[in-house]
Order: sequence, then structure tokens, then C-alpha cells
Amino acid sequence: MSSSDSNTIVISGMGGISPAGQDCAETRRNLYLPPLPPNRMYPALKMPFRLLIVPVPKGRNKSESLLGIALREALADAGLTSGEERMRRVGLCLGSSGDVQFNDLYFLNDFRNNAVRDETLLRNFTSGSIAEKCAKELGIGGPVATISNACVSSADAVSLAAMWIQSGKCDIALAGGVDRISKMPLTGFHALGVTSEGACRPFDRDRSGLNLGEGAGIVVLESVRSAAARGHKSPFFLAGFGAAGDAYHITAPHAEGRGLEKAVRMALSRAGIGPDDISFVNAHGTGTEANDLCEGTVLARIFGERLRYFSTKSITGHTLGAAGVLELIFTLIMLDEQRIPPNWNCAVPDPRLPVPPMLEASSIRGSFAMSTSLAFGGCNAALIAGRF
Amino acid sequence: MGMYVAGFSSLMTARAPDAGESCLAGVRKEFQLRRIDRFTLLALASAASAAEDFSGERKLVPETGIILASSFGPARIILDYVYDMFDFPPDQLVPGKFSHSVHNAAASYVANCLGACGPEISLAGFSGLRREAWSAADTWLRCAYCPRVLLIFVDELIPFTVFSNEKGCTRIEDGSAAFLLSPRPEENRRGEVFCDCAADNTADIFERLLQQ
Repeated sequence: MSSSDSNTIVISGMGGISPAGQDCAETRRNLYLPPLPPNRMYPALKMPFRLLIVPVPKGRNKSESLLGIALREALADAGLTSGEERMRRVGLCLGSSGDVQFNDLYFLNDFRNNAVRDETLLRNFTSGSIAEKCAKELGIGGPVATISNACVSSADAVSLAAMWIQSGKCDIALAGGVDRISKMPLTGFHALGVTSEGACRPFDRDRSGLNLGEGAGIVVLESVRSAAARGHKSPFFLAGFGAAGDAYHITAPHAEGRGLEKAVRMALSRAGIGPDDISFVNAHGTGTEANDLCEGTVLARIFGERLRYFSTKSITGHTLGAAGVLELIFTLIMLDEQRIPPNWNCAVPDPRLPVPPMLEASSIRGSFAMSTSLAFGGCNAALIAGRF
Repeated sequence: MGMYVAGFSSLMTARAPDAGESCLAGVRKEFQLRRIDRFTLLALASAASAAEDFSGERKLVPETGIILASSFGPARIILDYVYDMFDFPPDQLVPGKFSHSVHNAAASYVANCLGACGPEISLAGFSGLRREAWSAADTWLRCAYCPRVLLIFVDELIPFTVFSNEKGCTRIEDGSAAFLLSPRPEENRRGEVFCDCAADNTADIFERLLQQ
């Protein structure tokens, strides 16, 4: 898919809140500054994490608040208004890992003790998926879906929404995802033995695991025809996307990165470009040994010695289902700046990596960049951002 | 472009409990999945039989995509993990319970057992879920994201989901159904599906296939 193709998907707006910033403007500044350490600690587990402080109105949960912030910014950036007539032909595709589970601890404790007196929480949960509820509030009448694919959820949401447009199901689609910190992922990732006791250091020789984070991101995807018809100009487009499974293990990536390689090559093929056209890769880079070695090896195999890659999880922590879209947004910002940050917190790259990550900020020249995502279950996704 | 049912199978344990449980035990043994939860087995049982219905083999071609749709996901194991959180200190939780509590664990096992390395997503939702899942499958095929899609619907009745049904919040049934979908008319073995974003006729499609 080239930038002049009528099938091109314009990215006509974006909004995001994460430990990198409360909005895209603040994120743009912070991506290039050394990250602050994680701001919270789970004392019993000696486990730092990155918590966002946002107001949560009564009757809402934190994810709804985070999503609301990202949606408002993205809609404003795209020149759209919730409830306007045009929204009846807009689609909404969201990804989340935790927000599809009913895991309210107070309610479930009452349930176990046969002491549930009020089913409101359950009734709210079953009244619709997160995307269905948002669609109702925004007056969205096009296709809707909620994807729960662990840490690739929102990357997959972007791909599905893009295909809705390509297949004529809608002209505009909002795509993204959300995840918030709760006791379940904190204890779960700790139980898996993949969390760090300090700030996470993706691709570093002395890495010791991941930090959890939270956030929400939304991109507004639109057909070229629709953007032109309403006179909206954007510098960005979604050039390609791909996904593939490892068919290997429930938590560990395939040792040779079989699925990731396939996803990256599929995205390049759908974009109609080659590895040399990619100016940098914003890698998944969780800071776990399994992820970093697999990803570093696959990327080097595809892109060779000229590969320039890094992870932004040293800034945000791992935002789980929101990570895919947030890292796409970071990639778009860097393409716009024509400048990439170093892989923060990586002092000495793991010598087993065929190509080391970026250790210094660097200017780039190019129109395409890639963001990769890996997840539990061996799911892999690659998104290619383009700049007109 | 049409969307054709190349293979189909269902395991409505709610309608035939004894046969269902014996089928699940058989699937557990066949794929050597001693520790796998019942939700995953439900999904795998229909998925493997839908593959067999098409090709005679309990395998999928590697490029096949998988879409799994479920309202509550692996609710039994989610509750198990949460109850462990109530009963034990945070450093004594079981990692396997956590990794199997994620919504996409079942789809991952289906992919592993049937050898599918194509795209794979799990969808969550309630009243609109089935319509959304058909639409996603139709979208993937129209955009040539993969040559075939295995669409699986699965939910499990446990005390908590029964409670949800009794309170009128949901109408979950125990069981699974899998549809192997193809865009090629020559692979049409059980009928064509017309995907309408505004309507959900999964129940009609399902009953018609059961009668075949």
C-alpha cells in the first residue's frame, strides 16, 4: 500500500495518555528525555510500577477515564465531534487485556460468600463490551469490536479497523486500546518471574524484567476519499500491518521468532515496501530475556546491520493491551520529528544481540517506521507507520 | 465475495452433558493436555472437529486465521486465580493460573494443537458479540488477511455465569461451535454466510447446520 494508493489508510488523528505523557504534546517532549523512575512500589513483592493519576468520576472505572481522555484528544485532532451525524458511519475497535474480565475483587468476594446484595457491577459489565459502551456514548453506528489478545490487543485492533475501511464497512474508524494497573496483573506477572525490582532496561545485558504501566491510546483511521471530502489533512498514514502466531507456547515466544518474522514480512508485503525502506523499529522490548533475545534476533535477520531499533517501555512500562497503539503513536511522533530517542536505561547491550539497540538519540531520514508487538499465546503483530 | 462454511462442528454440552464430557476427555487425551482447563477443551473440541469436517484431518493449513469469541472467557480459571488472591499472600500465586486466565489462551492452544500460524484474535462482548465475530471473519477474508478463518464461539457455565444468567444479565449456554470459513466457492461444503452488520443470525445458521 503506497501513500498514493486509493486504498491508503490515513491516520487523521491520535490521542494517548501513558506514563510518557498526559497527551501527545507532552509525550512528544518526554520521549526524548531520560525517563523518571517508576512512581509506585508493590511493597510485598518489591515490585515498582508506573501508575497514572487521573480523576475517575463516580460510576466510572479508571479505564473508562483513560479511554475518554485518549478519545477526546484523538477526535479533536481529527476534527470530529462525538454525536455528529458523521459518527453513524464510523467504526470503533478497541483492545484490552484486563478490561474484558469481570475481576472486581469486592464483588467476587461477596459472590464466594453468597453475600451479593447488589448486582449493579455485574449488570454494568454485561451490558456491553468496552467498545460497545464507548460506541453508544459517541453515537457511533458503524462496526464495533473488542479484541482481547493480551499484549497485542490494540495493535490487532488497529489492523482490524484498517481492514473495515479497506473492505468498505466504514469510511472512518477509531482504533486503539486501554489497560489499567490492578492487583491481578501485578501479582500475575510477578508469579511468572518476569518483573524487575528496578527500572526496566530493555535489551540491556543486565536487564532483570519488566515494569507494568497503564494507559490508553486511540488513532483515527480514515479512507483517503473521506479525508479529502471533508478537507482534513494529516501527515500520517498506516502503510501496512501483519500478524501471525507462533503455534508454540502459552507464554514464551518461539525461540527463532517464527511468528514475529512472519508478521513483520506480512506487514512489509502489505505495505509494498522492503526492509530498507524502514527507517527505524520501535520494538516491543519488554526487558525480559525471552522477549528481547527473540525480537532482537528476528529484527536483525530481517533488517540486517543497518537496523535501528529501541524500546520505549523504559519510559512507559508495559501497558499491556494498550501498548500496541501507544507505541504506534510514539512511532508517528518520531517520524514527524525525524528523530529517534536512545533505548533509555540500556547501558551495555546484551552481547547476544546480533545488532545492538540505539544508544544515543539520532536524526533519521525516511517515510516509514515499524512498531512490533508480541504477546502471551505466541501472538505477534507489526504495524508500519507512514509519513506523506 | 462470498463467505462459505467449509467445515463445521459443535459441542453443545448443555444439550448432551454426558456425551459432551466424554468428548472433552477424549480431546484432552488426544492432544496430551493434562493441565488444560475445560474452557480451552470446549474450544478445541469443536475446532478440531470442524477442521476434520473439511479435510478429514484434525489439522489446519498453517496460514489459517483464528477468531475466538466468548463473553466471559476462561471464567473458571479467572475466579480460581482471584480466590487464590484472597487466600494466599501475593508471592505465592500460581503462574500457570494467571497465564491461562487471559482471554486469548484458548485460541492459542487451538493454534498450537491444530498447527495454525496465521493471525489470531479473541473477541469479547455480550449482545453484539456474535455479529461482531462474523463481521471480523468476513473482513479478514475480504482483505485476504488469511486464506481461511476458523471462527469459534465458546462459553462455559460455572456457578458465576449461572448466577449471571439467573439475574437476567446474560443468557450464556455451555458449549462451543466452530466454523471453518473460506472465500472460495469450491470449498463450500455447508452453505454460504451473508454477513450483515445490522443483524445476527448465528442461531439460525447454527440450527440449520445441526440439521444437516
